[in-house]
Amino acid sequence: MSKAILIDDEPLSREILKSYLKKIPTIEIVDECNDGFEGVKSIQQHQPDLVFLDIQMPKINGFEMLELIHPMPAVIFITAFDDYALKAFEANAIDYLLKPVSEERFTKAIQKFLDKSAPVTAKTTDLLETMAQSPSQNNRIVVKTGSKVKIIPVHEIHYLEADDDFVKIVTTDGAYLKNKTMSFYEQTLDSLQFVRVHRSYILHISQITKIEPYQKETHMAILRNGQQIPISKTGYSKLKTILGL
Amino acid sequence: MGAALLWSGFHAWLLNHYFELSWTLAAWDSFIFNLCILSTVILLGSLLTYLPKTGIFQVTIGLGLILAVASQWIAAQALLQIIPSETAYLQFLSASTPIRWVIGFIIITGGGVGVIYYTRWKELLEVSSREEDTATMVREAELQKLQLQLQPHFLFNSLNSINALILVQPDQARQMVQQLSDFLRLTLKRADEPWVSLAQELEYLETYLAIEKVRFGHRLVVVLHIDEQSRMWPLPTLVLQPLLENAIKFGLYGTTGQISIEVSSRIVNNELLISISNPFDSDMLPDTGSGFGLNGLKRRLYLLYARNDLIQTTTLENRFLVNLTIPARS
Repeated sequence: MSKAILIDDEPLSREILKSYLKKIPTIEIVDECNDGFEGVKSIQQHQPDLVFLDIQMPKINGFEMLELIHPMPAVIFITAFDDYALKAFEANAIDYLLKPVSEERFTKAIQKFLDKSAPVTAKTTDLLETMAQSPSQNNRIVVKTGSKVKIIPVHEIHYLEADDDFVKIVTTDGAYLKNKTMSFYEQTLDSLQFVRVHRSYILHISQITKIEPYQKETHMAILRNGQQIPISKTGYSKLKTILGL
Repeated sequence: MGAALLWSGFHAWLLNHYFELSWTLAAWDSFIFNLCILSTVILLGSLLTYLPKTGIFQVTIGLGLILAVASQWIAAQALLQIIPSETAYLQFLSASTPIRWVIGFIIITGGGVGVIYYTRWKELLEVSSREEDTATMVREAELQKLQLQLQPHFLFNSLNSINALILVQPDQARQMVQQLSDFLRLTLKRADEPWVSLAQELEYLETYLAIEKVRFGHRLVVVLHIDEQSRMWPLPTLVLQPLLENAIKFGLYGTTGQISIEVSSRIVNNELLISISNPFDSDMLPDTGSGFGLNGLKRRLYLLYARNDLIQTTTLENRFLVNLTIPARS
């Protein structure tokens, strides 16, 4: 018996999945959620094998919700029409259902899940990286603190710091950990605003008040809140180009 | 040309009647002088089109004076050649020189000023017809774009709801098919109707809301405060519906839980004021304001009313507010 959770903000949309699932005795629906916030909690609580996930949902979309979940369950995406997402699905060979969802197509997707023919999680991780660069997502980062979900607008970020396997995102309100790499953020954040000044630091340019020479060829950036961030030699030359020094 | 002939006739009659010139002399006099004046007016007119626009009236008066003297001198010389033997006439010719200058000056300068005004009027006509063409093109393109924007998401989601309703509530499924058809029909009809009354637009909104309520009835409340007087006010088509759709979209996707959308309309100082508000969460991005899809609408309203201040947005205690002004239709 596999456990499944339905996450979709439209009750009617869940209704149709429920009625299709009734005919599949090996899958049991353990919970239904109206949005990504409920989804994060429910997945934590129930540890489902399979998640039906709508993409367009209140406040955080399906992709942003998935970023907050470890380990990732198998996911079947459902969407009405989103050019960007469809391209990402195709590119990452991920199974998805289009609204209105046909039973035939639904059964095929379930069959794929039951066969467990392909390890889905690796592909889904790639998909999330692609989607993080989508226009709707690239100006914010969604993080989880304890059981709460927080949306950080990128303009509120002071800097990002490497922290073992995580990236620490430091903002006015505090610091948040995100299970991503520094090079991921170096690529996705706007390169005119965020500069990788050091192997372990990405700096938000508008936060810098002063740059002082430090040891040998390195420098030190002083932020608005007084904090000091080391700048490597290559980091300094990048900064100089962007600031037009 | 008729006016020139009439004037020449009058000129000849004047000379014959008051100055006792023979009809032959009067005709020669009138013919030569007026021919000179006419060609000078034409010369001045074509000259004016090449001159800079600044100070053109002073230039015209100056040129008119010089050309009047010159043309009258040429005319007198010509008459001297044509009728050298008529001493009495030649005396009259010489005596009447100043009066001929004045008359020549008035006609030539008048002609020049006429040409200036005529050119300006033609230019204005051309500019305004070009502006009109652009406006129509832009409006048509935008209308089309607005209509298309509305379709894909809305349509697929509605079809998905119908799909679900067929399974769980077949009667309501039929009703929703009807509502969707009504909405689509009205949308298509709107393409041919640039202006509608607020009442008509509200009717259209109702069909749209009926569908959204099937999908989001558990979260969505829409409150309308419509002042009775404002119902017959004309407004450009497809202005209100996209605003409401935006408000619903940002309300539903920008917050969780129940949302209320408020629409109010009233007439103030002979202008229709409509405000639409939706809740938003302050931890959502501030750019929901600029990315609200209002720029296209602002542009359209500018083309229609030549005013930039018809759409204003504000935030008030976690509500996003769009204020729309529709002036009286000119």
